[in-house]
Amino acid sequence: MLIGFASCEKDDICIFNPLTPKLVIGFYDQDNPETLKTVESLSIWVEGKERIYENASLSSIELPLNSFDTQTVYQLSKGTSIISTLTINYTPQEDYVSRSCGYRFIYNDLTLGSDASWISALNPTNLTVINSQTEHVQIFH
Amino acid sequence: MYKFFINFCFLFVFVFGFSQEKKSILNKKSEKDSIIYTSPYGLRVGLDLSKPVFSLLENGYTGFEIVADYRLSKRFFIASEIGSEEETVVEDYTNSTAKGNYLKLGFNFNAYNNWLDMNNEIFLGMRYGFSLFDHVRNSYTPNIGDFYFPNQRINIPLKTTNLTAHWTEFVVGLKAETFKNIFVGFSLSYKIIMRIDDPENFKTLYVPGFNRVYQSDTGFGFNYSISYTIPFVNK
Repeated sequence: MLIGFASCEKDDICIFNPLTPKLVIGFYDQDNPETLKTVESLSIWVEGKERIYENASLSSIELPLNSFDTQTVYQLSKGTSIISTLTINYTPQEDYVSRSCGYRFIYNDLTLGSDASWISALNPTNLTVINSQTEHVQIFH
Repeated sequence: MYKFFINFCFLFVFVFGFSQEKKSILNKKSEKDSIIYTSPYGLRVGLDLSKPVFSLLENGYTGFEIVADYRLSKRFFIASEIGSEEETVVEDYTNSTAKGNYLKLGFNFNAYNNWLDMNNEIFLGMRYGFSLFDHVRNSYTPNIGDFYFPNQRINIPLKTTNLTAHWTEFVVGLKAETFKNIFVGFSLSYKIIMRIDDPENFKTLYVPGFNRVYQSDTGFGFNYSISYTIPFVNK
């Protein structure tokens, strides 16, 4: 009876938000690759759009990917002047969830590139983005 | 011959079930055997009126159903429904249409004790249901959950044909004889999916004859029918 009730609820209201995962990036110390290292005064945006992070001090970030393209290019600035470009390539795939949630996107075949600025190295740890709970990329600086 | 045999079996059960009243029944029969009330046995066919009405009222729905039953014994009827339905399911993120035909076959048991020559029913029944249908995903909007990049509605229809569904149905209802041999009936049903085909990377949200498929693979239905008995014999 309780299970029946719960499943009817699930059917009507989408409780799995946000459904489409974001790319989770961790910032690590280039001299000590095992430890997280906070980036001071970090700003992130896509060229021509508003900033997702502005002047933040973070060691882990979540970035949305453009589901209707196979590439998203982010600008990452540390401080005021040093800007690095992060290019993320992927294959978006529609994944049906349920009546109330509809379709989400997941991203396969993740590849990354950056121009060498304050980012010294990139290490994709997960080549598929299916949830926002696990880290997908390590950035060393 | 079969009918006779089944009737005979049923009579046997009946007498057993009310064994303490056996004597009085027998007495009554022997006392006034000049009046014997009979009821018609035959094929009853009709139409579910709710479906054409909903076709007119509800946007995105058309349906038609023929109902039929055949009286086997005093209380048992073989019952069947055959029909066709089309329904467009509009959800927050998807818009899809299911269209197809269905057949239900089973029995009804009349639990009502009629007075004199009355011929009404309060029945319990079971059905096996089968549907053959097509499914079209008309459009969908991906659930991105973030507004940094623009979302878009995708209007490319995707059709999947020859999907099937099998289910079990429990029915409870009543039928009243309004004029001679003309019955008006109302019934409710609870349905459980046994097997269902889903389109690739989607789910069947509606099955003709089954109605909305809930996440627990169950469904509900109702029926408002008017039917006519073609009497073969009075017993």
